[in-house]
Amino acid sequence: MADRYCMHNQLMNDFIDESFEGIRAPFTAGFELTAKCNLNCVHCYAKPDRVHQDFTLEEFKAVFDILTERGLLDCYFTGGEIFTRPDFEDMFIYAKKKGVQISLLSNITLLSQKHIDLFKEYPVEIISTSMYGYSEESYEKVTGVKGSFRKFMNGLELLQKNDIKYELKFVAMEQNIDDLYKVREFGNQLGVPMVVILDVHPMSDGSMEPVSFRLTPEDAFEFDVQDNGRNQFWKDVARELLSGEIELRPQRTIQRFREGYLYPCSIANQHVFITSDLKMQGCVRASYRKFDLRKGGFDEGWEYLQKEFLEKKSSSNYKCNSCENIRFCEHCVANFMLAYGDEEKVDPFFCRVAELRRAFVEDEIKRLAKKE
Amino acid sequence: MRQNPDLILREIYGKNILMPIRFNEASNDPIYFNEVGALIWKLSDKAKNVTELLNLVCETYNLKIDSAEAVAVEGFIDQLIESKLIMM
Ligand SMILES: C[S@@+](CC[C@H](N)C(=O)[O-])C[C@H]1O[C@@H](n2cnc3c(N)ncnc32)[C@H](O)[C@@H]1O
Ligand code: SF4
Ligand code: SF4
Repeated sequence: MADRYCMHNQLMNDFIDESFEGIRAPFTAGFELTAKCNLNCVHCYAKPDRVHQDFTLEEFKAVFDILTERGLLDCYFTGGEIFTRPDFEDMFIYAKKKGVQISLLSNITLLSQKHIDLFKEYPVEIISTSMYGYSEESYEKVTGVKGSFRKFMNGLELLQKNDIKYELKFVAMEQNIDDLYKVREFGNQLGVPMVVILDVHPMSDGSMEPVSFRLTPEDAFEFDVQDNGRNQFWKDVARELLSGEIELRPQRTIQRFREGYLYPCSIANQHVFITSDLKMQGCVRASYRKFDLRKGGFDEGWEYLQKEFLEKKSSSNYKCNSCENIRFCEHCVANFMLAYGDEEKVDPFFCRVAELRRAFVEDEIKRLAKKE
Repeated sequence: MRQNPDLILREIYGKNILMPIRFNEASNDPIYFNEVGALIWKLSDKAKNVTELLNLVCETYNLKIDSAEAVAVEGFIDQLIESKLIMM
């Protein structure tokens, strides 16, 4: 007999990793409730999907039922803007009652006391919101909607006042780069977690417009140097490489590559993404291969995605496969495919950032070795 | 006796997780049950009181009611009641 009946507060992701290794099931999922939005951000990947015939509440319930049967424990709702759906509350409560943990991605400009009351009764795991600029001018340069900054700040005040757990995201682009450190500092002062996105990716239909706003690799790398958290992260990597705690090429990725697979990530392995027109994708970005749940069942779609992603092999000259800089790289096969229509055509942006990071880490290793 | 209605047991690939639904006094984080914890939870809806619940668990595992294991099970049940996961 076991001596403990439970363990409290173990993080869900760790639990999934430890408990279900080797099991291919949708333990985590993303749901795009709608691609429609009250804002019109310059970089938004979801723009081409605003015309979707959004899934109905009944369709949502049916797909949610099957996912929970197959193991869903943790999911996020995203958009477009989730709060534009009049039946948001119904979907949220339905999902909570199934015993699934829910995070929300929202621009919070439509957040109201009614939502706060809902989250007090049915707690949300975290609200992940994007702060597109520090000033009205830069924020609205991104969102394209007058008055949206004030609404965003009102939303933030509601979250803060009511002690709802949230994080701030900043998507760094030429439009708002001057505000990067101001937003970072603002987040620090509020004491909330911050996520900074440096690799703006193409739209869901492959349009490259958002990528044209992306920072240069040098500017993106500059953040690694200037930001205390990132800087420390790479210094820790240097220390661990020097002590032999970790190897230059991460074992998990290398194992997948050794076996000839193209995708080293968790795509279609323990994760699935459901679009607002009820299609299944391997992840939010992989919009180029979908399975239509209005035409077939979940299990058929799941099998299809595994074949198309998880089991897909690369060709022998796939550059990332033998790359020595991969530890320093956030390369994404889905990005390559969206941008170039070729899963193996690497985007030099990622290579250059990785090269700069590696040089930084090598300098740090030399410095540490000298000290020893 | 009854289960706290603000939590729901998920049984996934042999693992048992009690997931919170509504904000409640017992737990607003997932609770990872082992087999015995999950069994106590499931049987608590059927039992009238602690003795009956203990008997049901002991029957399932073929335990003598005065064994050390049975005492441990009783301890689990008490903990679950104290933390308001199951209710009298
Ligand atoms: C599509 S939005 C939906 C949630 C909500 N409307 C918001 O803006 O936070 C989810 C996240 O994706 C980000 N995003 C949108 N288009 C992107 C792109 N092309 N590249 C990188 N991130 C993007 C948004 O900035 C936001 O942080
Ligand atoms: S708020 Fe989010 S969904 Fe709306 S346009 Fe901006 S990035 Fe897209
Ligand atoms: S994108 Fe470039 S740096 Fe990154 S893994 Fe591929 S080849 Fe290496």
